[in-house]
Amino acid sequence: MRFLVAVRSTTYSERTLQIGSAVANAFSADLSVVYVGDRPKELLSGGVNLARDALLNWEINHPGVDVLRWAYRRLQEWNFIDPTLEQFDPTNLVQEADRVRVILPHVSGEKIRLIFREGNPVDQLKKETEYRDYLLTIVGGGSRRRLTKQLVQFVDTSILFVKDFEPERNYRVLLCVDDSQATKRAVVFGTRLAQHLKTHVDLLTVSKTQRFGKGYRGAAKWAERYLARQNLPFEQHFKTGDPPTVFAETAGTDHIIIMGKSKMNPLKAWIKGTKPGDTVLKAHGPVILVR
Amino acid sequence: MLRSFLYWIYQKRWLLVAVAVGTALYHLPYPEGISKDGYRTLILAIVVVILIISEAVPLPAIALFIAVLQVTFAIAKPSEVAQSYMSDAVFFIMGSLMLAVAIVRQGLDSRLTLAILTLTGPRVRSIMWGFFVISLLLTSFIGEHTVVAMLLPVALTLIRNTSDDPDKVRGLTRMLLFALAFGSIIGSIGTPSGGARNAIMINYLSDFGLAKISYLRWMLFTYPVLLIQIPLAGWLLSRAFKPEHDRLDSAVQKLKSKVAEAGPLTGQQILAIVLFVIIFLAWVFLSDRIGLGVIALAGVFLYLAAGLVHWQEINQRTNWGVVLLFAAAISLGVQLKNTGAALWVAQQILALTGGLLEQFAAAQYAVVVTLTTVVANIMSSSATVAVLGPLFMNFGGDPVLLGMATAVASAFGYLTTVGAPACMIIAATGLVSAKDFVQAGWRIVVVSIAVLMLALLLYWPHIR
Repeated sequence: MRFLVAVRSTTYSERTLQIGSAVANAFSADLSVVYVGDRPKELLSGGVNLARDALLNWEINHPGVDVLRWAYRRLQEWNFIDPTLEQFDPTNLVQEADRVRVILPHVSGEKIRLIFREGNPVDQLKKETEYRDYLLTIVGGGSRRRLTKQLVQFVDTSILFVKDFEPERNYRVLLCVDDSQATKRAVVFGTRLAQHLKTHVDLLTVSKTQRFGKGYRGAAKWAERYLARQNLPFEQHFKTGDPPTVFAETAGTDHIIIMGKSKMNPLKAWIKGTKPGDTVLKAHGPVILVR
Repeated sequence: MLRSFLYWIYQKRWLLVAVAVGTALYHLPYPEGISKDGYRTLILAIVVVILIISEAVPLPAIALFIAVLQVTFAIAKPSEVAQSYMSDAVFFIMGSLMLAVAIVRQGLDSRLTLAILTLTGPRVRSIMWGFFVISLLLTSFIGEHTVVAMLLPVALTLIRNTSDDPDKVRGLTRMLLFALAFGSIIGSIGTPSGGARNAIMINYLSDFGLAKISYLRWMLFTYPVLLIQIPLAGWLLSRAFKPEHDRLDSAVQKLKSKVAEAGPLTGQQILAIVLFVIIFLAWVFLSDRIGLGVIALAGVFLYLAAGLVHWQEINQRTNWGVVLLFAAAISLGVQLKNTGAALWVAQQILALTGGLLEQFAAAQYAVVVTLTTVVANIMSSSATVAVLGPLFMNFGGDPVLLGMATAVASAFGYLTTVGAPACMIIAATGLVSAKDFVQAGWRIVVVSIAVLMLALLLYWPHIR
């Protein structure tokens, strides 16, 4: 099982990396850290490359390599990888297709990979998830409408948006249950995460009207039985209203929202947006969309 | 399948916009007062501008597209298009890109470091002025990306010697990096060899039979503008950011120790400097006879022949796509002039202003300078001059002054990362943001435009 965490800077990506390593731990998954930086305009790239060569002579690395080194150190501090191993060599890089990977010779298997890419973030994350098979992509933000919409639509893995994450807070899990195909996978994923976090689960089913259809009731019943089998403490809620708004309001700042990714017609989703995408935008905490 | 198709549309949206705009304009009734060839050239120019700004397709592909459409639109014959792709300006762009590789690899950055720090001492504001003035003077003669590539490691080493945490030295970082970038941009207007845009404008003025501008004559026009900008822009820059330290004694000491390890100048470095002085003297005294580009190529030959650089390095580091793009853009610019498209667009803009621009030279200059500044901040300086230069030269006033104004104003790309190579290079360090460019640059843009306007109205007409 492989997870991918996208980082951009040492200032803004700490929490993304922190939750990424915690979730990877929960699932005993291998973690790939990808830095996606801006690609210089092609018209001016000659000068940038010349400057980068000159900087290397002064032992000044590309900013992306420095961010990956910082990520490596942080993962050591959090004991995700062996803190005694000192093997990050900024010059030991290998070019693979349109990405660069830092060689970490003494890390066993694929526990951790450090990757470097340049270009449009959606484009690069899509390419990375196509290059290797990832189960979950972990990204920061979730506030910028266009970027969020594109990530939800085009990155073909489950996605965790690390939004307003507070490491000291004891998060509960809010499982959003409806009649979509991805709900069952979301419930299974959420259960495993809740077991690792040793936390309480809230099951939430939202209908736009007072009437809850057969599909909704069936899904809620199935989720209830599944959680009971796993011996997890949970509460079940049925609410009415606009689903993304109710999900966000119920979750508040102390829940991780977990829901299935939409299987809506791509053209319709592109024009109208999706329930999961809107939930990410309205949420005040982390959201996981399970594919 | 549908999702992949939507993703393709998302990726190629600007290419589709360019195709849609081009197709729509092609099928609209042709306006009066412009020839069929002229109108088609104009459509091509609009599509090319969209493609260059959006980078929807690789730059060399745009260059090929220009050649293909010039022939298939019957704008020019194949041999004519082929000829217009190669000129002295293209030789200059090619030569200066290759020279940059040759010069940067000589390791002269250590020498420059010592020179700057000896002059400035450890005071932060003095160091900022040192970077600003040295980069400005050097880029008068060498391309700005060459100078920034040499001095950027020095600035970053000083910053890192001060603190390992970039957040603790944000003010200092921005002050030094912008001093370097803006100094280079201002300096690049000083001589024809300061930037590709200058060579392109000299080429246009000569090809259109308007004026032969020699190296020294260019300096006569632009150096006073540059000299007035030094204190004004430097002062504004020193006020734009507040450094966290007043002095960098230990950082400077560490840097000096590191540089001292390089030892005295090697024979190879002395030879590299001597060759560059020869190239510079040739530009000053011979360029009006044999051209800037030929001298730049001769310089590359000398560096190669002397073994100061290997062809493989030049071949690997030179962006040949950019050379091809500028060749195509200059060819397009020539066709804009030859087909009358540039004149027609200028006439339409003049008509829109109700004759105001024709009556007042100041208004003409103000419009040209402002438009050039805006476009340069979106499309980069050299591309602006290559594609829009012929258009701005037809704004009703003295075409030589308007052309020179376009070339100089295209260097006012202080506001965005794409305005100039120097801006893109410092942005690529990841230490300055797009917002910083506006914060550092807007006052300098205003001052630069004001100084250029004064030169256009009070000084240039007397030396024309």
